[in-house]
Amino acid sequence: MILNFRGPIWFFGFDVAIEIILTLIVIGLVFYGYRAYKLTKEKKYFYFTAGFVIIVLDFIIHSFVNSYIYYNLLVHNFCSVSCQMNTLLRLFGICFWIYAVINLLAYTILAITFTKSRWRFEIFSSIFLLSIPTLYLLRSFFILNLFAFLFLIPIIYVTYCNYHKKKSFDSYLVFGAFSFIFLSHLFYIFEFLSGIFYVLGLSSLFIGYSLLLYLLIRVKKNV
Amino acid sequence: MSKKRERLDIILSILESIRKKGGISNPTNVMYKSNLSHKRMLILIEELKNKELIEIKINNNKKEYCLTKKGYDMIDEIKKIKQISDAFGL
Repeated sequence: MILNFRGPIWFFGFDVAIEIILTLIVIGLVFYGYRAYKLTKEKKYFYFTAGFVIIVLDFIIHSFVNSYIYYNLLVHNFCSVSCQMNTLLRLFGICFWIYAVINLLAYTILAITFTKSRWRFEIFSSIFLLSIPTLYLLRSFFILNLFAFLFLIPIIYVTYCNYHKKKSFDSYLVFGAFSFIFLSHLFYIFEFLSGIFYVLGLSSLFIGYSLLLYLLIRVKKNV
Repeated sequence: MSKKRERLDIILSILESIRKKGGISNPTNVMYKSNLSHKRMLILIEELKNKELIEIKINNNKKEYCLTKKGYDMIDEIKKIKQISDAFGL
């Protein structure tokens, strides 16, 4: 059972606002991915869209649960009644499980989409299947972030190779975005030390997705 | 060895070849400009027709492919999709 909530008290609510913004950015990517799939019916666009749809779902679940918890903690002083606190912790535990599995599923799909290896499906789905019992047994953000690394490292490598090959500003933005997403998981690993790492992690995530937003703006403006 | 062309590139080249001829083009021009075999071109033309991106008209017993309003808009859309696809290395 997770006994501490994520981040310092002053950050309560900011994370929800950030995640709502991130959700809107990812919806923009989903829109283009879906349009590409509708036109070409190619699998890679289907996986691309599915991966980001799951990330949207992940942000919605996380921000919804956080909002619920903050509302009860700050407005109704939920903690004062121990049995209600137990309910809150149980809810947090269940939601952690759902959030973690969905998060890793999204990264699995994106890793399969971006990498070109012949065995990518077998490799990444095996890692994902291995992550489920591990997360169930250990139930910690540390394990979740370690598994996230396993998916994000090949994605960063592929996006770097793409940038190296094309030398375009757009591919540089994508490489930068995934590097910041990776960095956010690195900060989350140290969350147990101090809540400030959660703030740093979410800030990195925000910078990462802002780079993708900048890409979407460039595309929209035909730059 | 040259890389296999993406499906998006092929669709874009067909639509662009018609647009460059003022929105109406004959099958031979489309086939040459988009560098496709006759058989492959017919399959894709049928697909684009079903998506209402082009219309097939008969003029003086000759077939003509006409770009629709949706087709014109789709050219810009495909360019945007391609920009994102290239950025992600898909």
